[in-house]
Amino acid sequence: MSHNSLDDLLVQVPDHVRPDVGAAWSTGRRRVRRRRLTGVAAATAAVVLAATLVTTWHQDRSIEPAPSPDGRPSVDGYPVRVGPQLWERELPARPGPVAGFVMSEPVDDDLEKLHVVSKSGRTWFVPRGERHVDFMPALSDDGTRLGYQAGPDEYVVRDLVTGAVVSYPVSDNLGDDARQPFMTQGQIPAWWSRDGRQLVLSAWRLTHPEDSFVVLDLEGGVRPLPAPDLSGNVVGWTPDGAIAWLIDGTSRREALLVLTDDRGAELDRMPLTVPDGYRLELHQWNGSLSPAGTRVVLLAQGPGLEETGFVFDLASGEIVASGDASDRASLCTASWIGEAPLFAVSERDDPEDADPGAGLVSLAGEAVSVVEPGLDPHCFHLTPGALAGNRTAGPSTWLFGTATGWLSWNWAYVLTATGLLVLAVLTALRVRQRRAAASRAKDSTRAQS
Amino acid sequence: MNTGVEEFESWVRARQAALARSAYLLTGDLHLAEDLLQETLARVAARWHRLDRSRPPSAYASTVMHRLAIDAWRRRRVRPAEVLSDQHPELGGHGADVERRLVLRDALARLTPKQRAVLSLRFYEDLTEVQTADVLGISVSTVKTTARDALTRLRAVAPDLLADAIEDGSAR
Repeated sequence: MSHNSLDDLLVQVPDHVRPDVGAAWSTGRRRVRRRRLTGVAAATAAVVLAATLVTTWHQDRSIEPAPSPDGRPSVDGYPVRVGPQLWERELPARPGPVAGFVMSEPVDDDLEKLHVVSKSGRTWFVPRGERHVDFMPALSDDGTRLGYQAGPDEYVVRDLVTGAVVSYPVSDNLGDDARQPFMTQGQIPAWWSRDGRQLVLSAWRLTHPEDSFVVLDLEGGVRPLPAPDLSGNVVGWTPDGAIAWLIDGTSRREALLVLTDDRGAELDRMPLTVPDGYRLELHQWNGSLSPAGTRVVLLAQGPGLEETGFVFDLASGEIVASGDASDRASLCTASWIGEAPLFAVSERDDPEDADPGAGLVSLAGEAVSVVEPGLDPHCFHLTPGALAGNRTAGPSTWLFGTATGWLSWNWAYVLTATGLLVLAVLTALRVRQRRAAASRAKDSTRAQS
Repeated sequence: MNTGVEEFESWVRARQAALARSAYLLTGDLHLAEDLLQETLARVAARWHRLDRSRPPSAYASTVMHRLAIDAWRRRRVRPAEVLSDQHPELGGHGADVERRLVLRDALARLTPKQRAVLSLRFYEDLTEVQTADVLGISVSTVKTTARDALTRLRAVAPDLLADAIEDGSAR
C-alpha cells in the first residue's frame, strides 16, 4: 500500500466532507463551560460529603484518656456542642472517662433518659430500667465513675475505665414494699468526693427513717451520714475530703455553710448573706461548692422574683460575682469551669425565648456548651475535670460556635441532602448524554446501511 | 475570545482537507466522516486555549480523530454490516479509475477501525510505529501486528492495488 494509492482514493473527499466550523467552536466552548460547571458541582458535592463524613466520624468512637497524676485516666476536655447523632447507642462497658451527662425530659409518663457525653460531644444512652423520675446520676470529677439508680432495687456505680460495676442495696421509693435495707428518692442530687472514691446519696435506712443521707464506698459499702441539721443539703466536697452542707441561717437572707467530715462530725461553719431585697430559698438544687472548695454559688430571689446567682468567696465570706439565673434549669446542679459556676438552661424552661437553646451558661450569660434540642435536656452537667481541659471544637463549632438555631444542628444533613441531590442530577445528566450519544451512533449506523 | 475563534477558523481552513481525508479513511463513509470530523473539531475547540502551542494543533486533532474512530466502534453493541451503495459521489473520475477506487474502498471497508486507524497513521499520515502507538495509546508491537494483519487482509481482497505495497516489516 502506498500514500499515493490512498491519496488517489481520497482526492474527492474534501469536496463532500464539509464541517460546520462555527458550530464546532460553539459546541467546544459549551462543553468547556459545562465541564467547568460539572467540576464545580462535583467539587461542591465532594466537599459536602467530606464535611459530613468528618462531622459524623469526628465524634470519637472511644475516648483517649489522659493520665492523671495517680496513673488513672481522667477526662481532659469538654464539647462545645453536644450532638446531634444519627444513631443513638448504648453506653459501652468501658468508654473511658467522659465529660458529663444530659438528662432528657421523660418521653412517657415516668421515663426519662440519661445520656453520657464524651469530650467531643458524642452521646450514649444509659439503660436504667423503667421507673425513674428525676433520679439524678452522679459523675465523678475525673469523669471515670458514674453512679445512678439502675433499677427499682439497685443503685450502681460503673467504672467507665475498667468496666467494673458495683451494686448497692438501695431501692427507689416507687414500690409498695421495702425490698432493700436502704431507700432513696428522686429529685435530690448525689455528690462525689473530689477523689472519686466516695459518693454521698440521699437515702435512709428503713429502720431509721430519721436518716437523710448515706455514703457509698467503691467496695459496695453503704453507711449512714448524719446531717448537721434537718434543713441541710449537701453542696459538695472539699479537696481534703470534707463534706459541705447548706442549712438555714437566722434570716431569709442568710444561709450557713457547714463543713463536716465524712462521718458527719462538724468541722466548720460560715454564714453567707445575700444583699438586701433578696431572699434565699434553700432546697436541694440550690448551692454548689467549687472544685477547689474556695467558692459557693447560691441562688436567691430578687424583688421581682427573678432568680440571681451569687458567688461567695469562702475565705472572706464576700460575694465576688453575681448574675441573672432566671433561665436556669430547675432540676440540675451547677457545673464549674475553674472557680466560675455554669448553670444549665433548658429550652423548656422558657419556651417563649426567641433562641431557645439548651446548654451551660455563665453568670454573665455566655454559653460555654450547647446541647442539641433533639435530646430534649432538662439537665446538662459537665465535670470540673472536663471543663478544666481544652474545649473540643469540630466543624459545627467552627461554623456556628454556640449558636443554637435550627441550621446549626442540621447543616450537615442539609448539605448531605444537597450533595446527594447534586450527584443524582449529575448522574442523570450523564446517563442522558450517553443515551443521546448511543442514539446518535445508532442513527449513523442506520444511515450508513 | 474573538481571537480564539479566528485562529481556530484559520487553522481549520488550512487543515480541513487533510482532516476530511483522514476521517473518510477511518470511517469509509462520507456521512460518518463528516460526523467524525465535526466531533473532532468540537473537541479541539474545547481545548483550543489550552493546547500546547509548541506542537501543531493538527497533531492533537489527529490523535483525537483516530481515538474517536476506534471508540465509536467500541461503543456499538452490534457491529453493523458494511453495505456499499451503488452511488459513490466521492469516487469521481471515469472507467478504470473509478473501479480501482471502488476496489480499494471496498477493501478498506473490510478492515476493523483499529486496522484502518493504524493504516491511516502509518501510510497516510506517515507516522512511525512509535508515533502511531503513541497516538492510539497502544503498544508498538500492537501497531506492528495490526498493520501486518491489515495489509494481509488488503492483499487478499485487492492484490493488484498492493503491488507497490510497503511490507509491514519494512515500514519505518
